[in-house]
Amino acid sequence: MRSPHSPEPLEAGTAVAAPVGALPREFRLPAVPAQLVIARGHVERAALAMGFDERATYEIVFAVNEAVTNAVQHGSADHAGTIGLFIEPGDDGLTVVVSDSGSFVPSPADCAPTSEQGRGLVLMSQLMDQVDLFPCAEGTVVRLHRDRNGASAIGGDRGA
Amino acid sequence: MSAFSITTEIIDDEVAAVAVTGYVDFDAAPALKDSLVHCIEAGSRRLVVDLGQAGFIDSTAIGVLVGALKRLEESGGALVVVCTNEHVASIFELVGLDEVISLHPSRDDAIAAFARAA
Repeated sequence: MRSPHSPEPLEAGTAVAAPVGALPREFRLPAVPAQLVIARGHVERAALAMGFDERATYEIVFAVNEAVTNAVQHGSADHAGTIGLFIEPGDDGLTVVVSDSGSFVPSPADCAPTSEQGRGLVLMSQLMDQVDLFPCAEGTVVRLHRDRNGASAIGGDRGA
Repeated sequence: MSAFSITTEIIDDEVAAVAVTGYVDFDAAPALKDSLVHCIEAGSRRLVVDLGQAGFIDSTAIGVLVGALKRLEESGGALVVVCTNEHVASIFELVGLDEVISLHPSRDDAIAAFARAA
């Protein structure tokens, strides 16, 4: 079953340096943990190409890594055993969409320091300006957005 | 940032140091857990997790650290972290982990903290 949210299959291109418009935006990645480093690389290149500074880029990459981890960990891979990663640079900031075909229902966020899980969504929300979770019959879509300018969750200056 | 690797050093009868390099993500967390569990089962009661060369530690790896901390505390042990990367330290603070696991600038400083607590 194919999620309607899934991007069309694309060849996994090798991302190149800026400008951001030249970077590939849609990827289908095998739903295995070893692909996390690949996903982080794509997002890092896009964020840097957009002019996000080192700290902002780290935070964006961290948040997307959590979303992709959820897709790999909880979401059932689609028939092709892949998850979708869509990177959309915009005038107002960077949007990243992670999709899987599972029925991932996130465990309640647990902010207790001694909790062993439940931090993924909390961190995504803290590090990004907007996080939307769309659980639906066809799968789960997580959309993360980071403004070009805004107050960092961690503190200090950030933005592009 | 280099790929993930992990090394364990037995300091003395009670203290062991587990050093990780690179990205400590969902792919690497099981290896970190195995190393910590191995140390605990071998008798170490005080663990130093050296993240001095780690550029990234995700929520699953944080969960592994908390799990090891709980297990050690049940038997009167302790777990501390060496952290020199400001980004990693910031993530620890965001999730409140710095309230339950003390962060130290060097391995010597971390081991000295054990001596002070003893």
